[in-house]
Amino acid sequence: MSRPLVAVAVLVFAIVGLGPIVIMVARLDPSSFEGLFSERTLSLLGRTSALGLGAAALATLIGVPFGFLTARTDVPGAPVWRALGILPLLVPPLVLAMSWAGMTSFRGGLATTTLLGIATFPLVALFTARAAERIDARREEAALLAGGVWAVVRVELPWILPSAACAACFAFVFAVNDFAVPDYVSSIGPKYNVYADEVFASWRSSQDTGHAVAAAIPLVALTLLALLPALELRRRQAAVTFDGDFRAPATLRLGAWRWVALVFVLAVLAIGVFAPFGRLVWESGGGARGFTVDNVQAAFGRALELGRVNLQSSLTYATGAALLCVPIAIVLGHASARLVRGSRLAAMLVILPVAVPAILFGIGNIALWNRPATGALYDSGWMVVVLLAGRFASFAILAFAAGCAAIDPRLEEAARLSGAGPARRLTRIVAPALRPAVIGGATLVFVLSMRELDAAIFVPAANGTVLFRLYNAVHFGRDDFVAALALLVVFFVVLPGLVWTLVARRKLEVLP
Amino acid sequence: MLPDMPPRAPREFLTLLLVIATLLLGASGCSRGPDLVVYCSLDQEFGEPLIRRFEQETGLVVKVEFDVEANKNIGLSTRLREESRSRPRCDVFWSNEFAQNVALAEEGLLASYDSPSARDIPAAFRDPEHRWTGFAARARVLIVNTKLVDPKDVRSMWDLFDDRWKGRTAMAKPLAGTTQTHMAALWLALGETEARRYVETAARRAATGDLNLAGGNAHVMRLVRDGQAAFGWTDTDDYNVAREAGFPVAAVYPDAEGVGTLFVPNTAALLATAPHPEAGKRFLDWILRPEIEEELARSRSAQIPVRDAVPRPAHVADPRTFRAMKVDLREVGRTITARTRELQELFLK
Amino acid sequence: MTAVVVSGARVEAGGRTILGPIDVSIEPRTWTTIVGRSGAGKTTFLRLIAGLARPTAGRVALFGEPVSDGARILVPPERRGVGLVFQGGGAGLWPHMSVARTLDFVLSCARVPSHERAARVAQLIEAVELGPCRDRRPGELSGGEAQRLSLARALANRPRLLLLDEPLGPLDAELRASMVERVRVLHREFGLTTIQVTHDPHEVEHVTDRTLRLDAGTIVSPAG
Repeated sequence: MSRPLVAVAVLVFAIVGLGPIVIMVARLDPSSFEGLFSERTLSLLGRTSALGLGAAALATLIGVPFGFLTARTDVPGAPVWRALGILPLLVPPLVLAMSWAGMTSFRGGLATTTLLGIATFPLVALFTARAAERIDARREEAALLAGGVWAVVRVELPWILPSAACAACFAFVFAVNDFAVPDYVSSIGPKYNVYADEVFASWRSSQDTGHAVAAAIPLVALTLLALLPALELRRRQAAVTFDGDFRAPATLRLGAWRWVALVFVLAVLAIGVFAPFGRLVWESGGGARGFTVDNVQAAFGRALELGRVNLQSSLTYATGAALLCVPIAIVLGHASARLVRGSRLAAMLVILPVAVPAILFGIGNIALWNRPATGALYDSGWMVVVLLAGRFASFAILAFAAGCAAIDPRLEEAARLSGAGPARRLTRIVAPALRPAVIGGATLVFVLSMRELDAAIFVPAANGTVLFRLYNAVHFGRDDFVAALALLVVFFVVLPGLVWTLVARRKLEVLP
Repeated sequence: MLPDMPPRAPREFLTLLLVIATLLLGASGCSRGPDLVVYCSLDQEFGEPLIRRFEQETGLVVKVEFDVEANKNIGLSTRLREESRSRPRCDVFWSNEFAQNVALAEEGLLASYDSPSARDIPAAFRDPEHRWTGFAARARVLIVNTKLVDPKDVRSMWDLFDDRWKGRTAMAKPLAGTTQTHMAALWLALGETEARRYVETAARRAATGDLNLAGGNAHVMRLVRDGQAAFGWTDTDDYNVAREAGFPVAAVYPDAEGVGTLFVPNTAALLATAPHPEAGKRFLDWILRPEIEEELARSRSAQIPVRDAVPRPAHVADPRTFRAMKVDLREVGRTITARTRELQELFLK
Repeated sequence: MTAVVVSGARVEAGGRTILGPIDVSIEPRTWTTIVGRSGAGKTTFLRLIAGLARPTAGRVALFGEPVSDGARILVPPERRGVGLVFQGGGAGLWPHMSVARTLDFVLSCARVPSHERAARVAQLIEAVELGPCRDRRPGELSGGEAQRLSLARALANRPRLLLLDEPLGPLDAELRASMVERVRVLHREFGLTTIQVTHDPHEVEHVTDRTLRLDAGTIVSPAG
């Protein structure tokens, strides 16, 4: 590890990722905690835990097989399904929930859990896919010879699970921090309140921000607790599967089972992608008031006309955030993977920016950056970039750390003996060998930045983002416009990668 | 012994850092600063054209920032409070309701300005100390699906709990937005006992699903227009969206012989820490004119002029034709925080 | 000047002593073979000299210069002038770099000017007979080719000390013999001090100057 590089990266992450949190936590005082742990709030916490665990479990149940099948097997059309599998991440969960709620009368807690599980399964699928691709062909072949594909699955699952568990933790974080989806889905029937409602309401009901910050602490604690099993799993089962002699594993032949696998993959896509996105297309064309192709054209035309500038802004901010996260992820991901002591604490600090409620993070950014010395930055579009990078760097860091944990340390040792200094080893040996993890982490940051508004709304330039326009259109019942705009976002982000996947011989490793 | 090899910073890192630094530096402060900064929680679709017209007429460059409806006004008012701690940016806060401006006034964040344009606005909609001024209101109404219910059968807010419509009525969660304000106003209009009875009944029925609790007024409107609910509380602007789109809906102004209908005016205020106070005053003088109320009345948001004399389309209610809830807006704003805590205890379980 | 002096060195891991205490001196330009059963500490011994294993006690000096004292590393691995061929075929090779690129990278780390590097890369490739493979990546090389690349990489910066960790393991009998001969030539040509770990001392008895036996982490004898 290069100490100066690590110090710089830690400083940058501390400022953009942890600074907003620290500055808000500084407002706590003993009175902030009054009434925090009442029977009512504990009940909400319990329900929220169940929601988070349920959503994470479902995301894992779907995501692990989906990721493995589409990345490693001969399921017909696997590259296309793999690319499509990322789509649910590109659309705000509320918009997806509105689509599903329009198609079914399934409501309440179970519906909420299911929807959030489906909305977050791509995270688990992506991490699983990458972990599965890092397994040396010969290890896999030995298992294949011993007992066929099922033996391969049994042997490789322990290597894949640490990455999948990490992603499941993120799914948990998203689920427990979301109040819009539970609110919407339980708008008919018994109300399903979650702790995130309590956090949001605290900002409304209290002029004292300390109390509102205190309200967020149980949720953050819950998230960090959920991270512990994932870290433990990684510590115990992380195996070096990627060494200097690495041979990329071949496509696994499933035989007749490939059709069963295809049915499973398509079923997942049907629920997670085709149905809600199909509904969006239907809504864009007029929906229940009469679908016509002309309406679709008109809706898309209007969305493009009104939303073009917003789309450009969002694409710029998301790209900037992703680029900013790349060096941070490489340095901190590597450092955290190589830590002998304190790795758990490091992982918790890394995940903190995404574990705190969006409103706390957003307001923390105001408190941190809206000062005379940094006013110009705060007023500019780059404040959105800084906020997004701070919020989502966790994904890039942990994705790269997962890759580093699997890489043979002898790669770095050989470079060291050759005379390469730590920074050079990192940039010329480790990062290039783990390029898919680098690009994948950056892509995740990009995707999540595109759909982020809850925290970003608190900085001035967020007014110019496409999500801002979309959410306001939701309010005004402009379903056709909302649907068209949501689809446009997806289209512009995914199209280049999808086309490449279909036509190019070489895999475009932008999928995380 | 091998010669010393001092470490070199990798080319890639340096390049990336240089690019990032250039972008950060280049993006900051490269355009002319605005003459006026307005935070506006009225929907961008309606607020922005007006502000752009102000720009054209005055030559002032206005930076306007909006909120998302999902934030229920919390975004802008919270930003105002935070920014006032370190570096005030905003000159004028144009809120689509009044409670936040009352709260900001109580915290000493608003300046006193008696705009000449506001002199004909009824006193009930103006802060006695001229810290905020109300105009162009929405009314709290029951939106009714006329295919499911005859609007004549819905007369009172208590009808929401009638077992005839068990499971088919709706309201927004009263912890934010105009529903929150409405419930706080009920305490003053109905008195402690009746108001408590109302909210407790609502909370109890929401827990069992006898009353549907939506995320916001727009959502209530959707539920009713789509027939998933027979009727429910919403605001006149949301009702108008459904009406204009041709859905079978009607608006009922309930309790015409009782507590009446709450009006929720837009309120505009000059910030005490406004960096451009004179420009702020010009804007207030401009936005508080009757012509603006007329324009907002004609818009899709169908805002109700608070001035009787302002012309309005037929579908925009005339407050003289129904009973307005008599409450002191300032008192509603002052008590809303305490009431919200109680509502939180009741509804968030 | 003695090439390698190890005095009372000990390496511990997981609360267990896996090597040491060990005392050994190795003369320059000699070929020393270390033999012993699996788990005797042979690889750890090489890693100790290379600076990749941190000692808990004792001293190591290379060519008269102390490189570690107790747990303190005085000279980091990249400055010890050591080349190491890892155990196991292409272990430690960089999967994303071709043969030529691997060697070029190592030379660039030594700040060899770019106009010289091409020629030296060509020389190294020729020395290990990897001409047809120059643009292939480790994953596309056979076991023998990968081993030869490892050797070329270890020698690229003209180290003064060459460490070989069971370099013949993955090779067939014919390749083993040619590999031994190749290394012998290079050992003489570059005036290297070579320390080799092997299971089978007979393969190198015609080139080795001295054989040491390790057992349970200590030198039990100059092997018979």
